[in-house]
Amino acid sequence: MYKFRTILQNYFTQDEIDKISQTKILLIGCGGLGSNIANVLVRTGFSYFILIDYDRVEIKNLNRQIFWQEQYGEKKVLALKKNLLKINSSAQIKIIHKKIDKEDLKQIILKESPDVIIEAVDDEMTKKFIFEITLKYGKKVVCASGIAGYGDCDNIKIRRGRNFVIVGDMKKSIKDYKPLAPKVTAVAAIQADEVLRMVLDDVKEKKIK
Amino acid sequence: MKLNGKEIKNKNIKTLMDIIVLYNYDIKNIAILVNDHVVKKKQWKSYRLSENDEIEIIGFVGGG
Repeated sequence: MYKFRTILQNYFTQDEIDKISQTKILLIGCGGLGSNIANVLVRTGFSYFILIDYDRVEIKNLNRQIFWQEQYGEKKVLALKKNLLKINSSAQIKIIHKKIDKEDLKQIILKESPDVIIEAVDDEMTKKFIFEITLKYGKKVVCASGIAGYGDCDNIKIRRGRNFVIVGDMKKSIKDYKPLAPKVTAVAAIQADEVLRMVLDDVKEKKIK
Repeated sequence: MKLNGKEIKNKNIKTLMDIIVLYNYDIKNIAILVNDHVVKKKQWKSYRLSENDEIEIIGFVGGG
């Protein structure tokens, strides 16, 4: 059995590998964005995840979400955990099968102390409270806004601030447009890339100090 | 003051709510930061802005 870490040595320095593999990711939402983000992050070497989702895999999800037909009906958090472990069997993955509210999120942040929080949920109000609460607690957050439709990936923006990033076209809601694999996957990949940037920026800063 | 990175000047802007109204933001799905700090919705009406404030208004649309 190979060690995933040895694969990473082809792509990163030892310091970078250490930082990436020790980063604790809190992923809220394991659907179109979340399953794709996790897939990309685990391949990049991230190996410490807390996955949150209240849904189960539906066949209609297979248009864009990284699940398989035989996983129909399974809790998304569990199905995703199994899929990630197929890529890196030594990843440490906690799962929470729950529709979380503000209070739950505060408790999870305090208990788990994640390094980066990824917002990958459907609902606008949930996006908003994840953004507000994570910043209040001084955590880094990567959000998405505007992932639906097709043919306009050139409108995807990356809005960066202190401790936050928002990725998406900022306009197209699933109320008016359908969530389709190409654009959803593009936004998810950019969210994952921003997580990597945040983590590797920390490595660079430490070196300068 | 700056709104989303751009300098804005308007004597009528005194509170966050003035900006929301003037720039036609939908109050339902936005979050606001002033100088990197979250300002909650219930404070938007009373929050007095000063000249050097940097305001970020982030709108969220559904889909994940």
